[in-house]
Amino acid sequence: MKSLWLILIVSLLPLSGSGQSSIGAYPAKPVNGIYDPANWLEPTARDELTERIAGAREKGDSAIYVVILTEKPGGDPDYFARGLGGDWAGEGLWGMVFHLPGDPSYPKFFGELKATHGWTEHQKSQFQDSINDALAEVIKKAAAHEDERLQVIVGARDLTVNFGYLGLVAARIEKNKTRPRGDRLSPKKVETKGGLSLWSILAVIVPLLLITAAALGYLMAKKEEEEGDNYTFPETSPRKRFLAPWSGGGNVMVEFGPDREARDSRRGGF
Amino acid sequence: MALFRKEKEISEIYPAEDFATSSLFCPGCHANIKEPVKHCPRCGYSGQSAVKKFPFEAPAISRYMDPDQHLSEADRKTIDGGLKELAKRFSQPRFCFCLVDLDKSTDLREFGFWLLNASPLTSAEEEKLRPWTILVVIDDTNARASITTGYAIEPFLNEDRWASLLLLERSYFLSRSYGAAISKFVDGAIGVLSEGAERTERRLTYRRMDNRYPDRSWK
Repeated sequence: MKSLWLILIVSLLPLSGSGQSSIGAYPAKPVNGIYDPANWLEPTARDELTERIAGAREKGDSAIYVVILTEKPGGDPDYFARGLGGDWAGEGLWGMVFHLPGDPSYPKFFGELKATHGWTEHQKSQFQDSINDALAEVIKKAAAHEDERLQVIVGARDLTVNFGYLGLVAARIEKNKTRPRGDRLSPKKVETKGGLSLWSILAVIVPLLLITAAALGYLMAKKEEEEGDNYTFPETSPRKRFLAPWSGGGNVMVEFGPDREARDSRRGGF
Repeated sequence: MALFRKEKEISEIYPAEDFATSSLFCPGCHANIKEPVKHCPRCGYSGQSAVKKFPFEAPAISRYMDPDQHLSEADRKTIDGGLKELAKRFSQPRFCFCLVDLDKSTDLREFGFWLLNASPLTSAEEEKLRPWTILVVIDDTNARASITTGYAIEPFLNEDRWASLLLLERSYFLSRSYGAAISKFVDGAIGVLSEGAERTERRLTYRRMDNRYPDRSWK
């Protein structure tokens, strides 16, 4: 039975003040954001998370890391995770899934932003609340699964989405130095794929469809105008009579007038 | 003409009686015949009778059979234009105009019956067109005109309409302005064919509804 999850409050205290740091050098930052030397993650999951991490980076300049360690690092693992994130991401926004396979108290989720220079205290406080809320959402979603692999994957997915958005907020604050909105992150954000939003795709496709429909409509109308409303009578089994192969004759004869002979005699034709 | 549609999917062959609006008449005695017969029950008339009555080779059917050149090139051009417009709406019927001088005793209807049946087939195309032919015979000497239709188009057309149409152009026929008369006839023929098409569509619809709901009456 899994132990209850703790909601992590990420502090902005300097790393040097804690005291439990004799862990050794941090491993080199992985290019794709996934540190899994024992290949604990399945290839398909790895590929998916690589793509999502790249998306979060592109969207909001957020660094997301998935760290899978087969054995506990020396000292406090949580302290190690925070230190690792700070070392890899510097002062930028980062989020991390930190997991020790087999340990029921993991995975755990961390996140931090140090680059808040020039922000007001209110902005810093609001943004920190946003980070905490994001992590709480991620933990809640991951905890819904029994399987530890699923917890890692689901948590990492949600982390990329939420922190991708947080990155945008941070960028806007940096740009405008305005009060952050302090949105509560909803898990129901529009997912992006390869950096393109659904709206941008629709903005291209819908006009294209309209133009195509208009062009097709014009061509069909032109074709109809050229062809006209051609009506086809159905085929029938004919009323053949009098042994005549093509026509049974008809009863239409019109005589136009009585004075043709007089007219013709004036012509002298006969 | 939203009522009309392209009948591309019809593969069924319908009995002509389902659409026929005009009665059957004997070309010999003009008796009204109830149903198709090989010989007229009253006078015994048949196609052989017509061949005997006109014991010479029938000319090949063409759009203009006009040995005396009643129609000028300009007239033919005008008529061709009208027929082209008609063909856009009704591509199946083929109109042929025969201008002849006949004896008054010759029945123009019988002449048309003989011409349409006895005329030789000059090509495979002609074999396809013959049943859809509407032959207008104009007797210049006696100021008469008749219309004979092929079996394929006959069930859809109301003969009374042809008669009315010819009478409308009476002044042109009388003054021998055959170009104008035929041109106006062609313009009017679109109306006759349209009426036939509308009626045909109605009957096709009733037929389909009858097949689908045999217990109800749709007419």
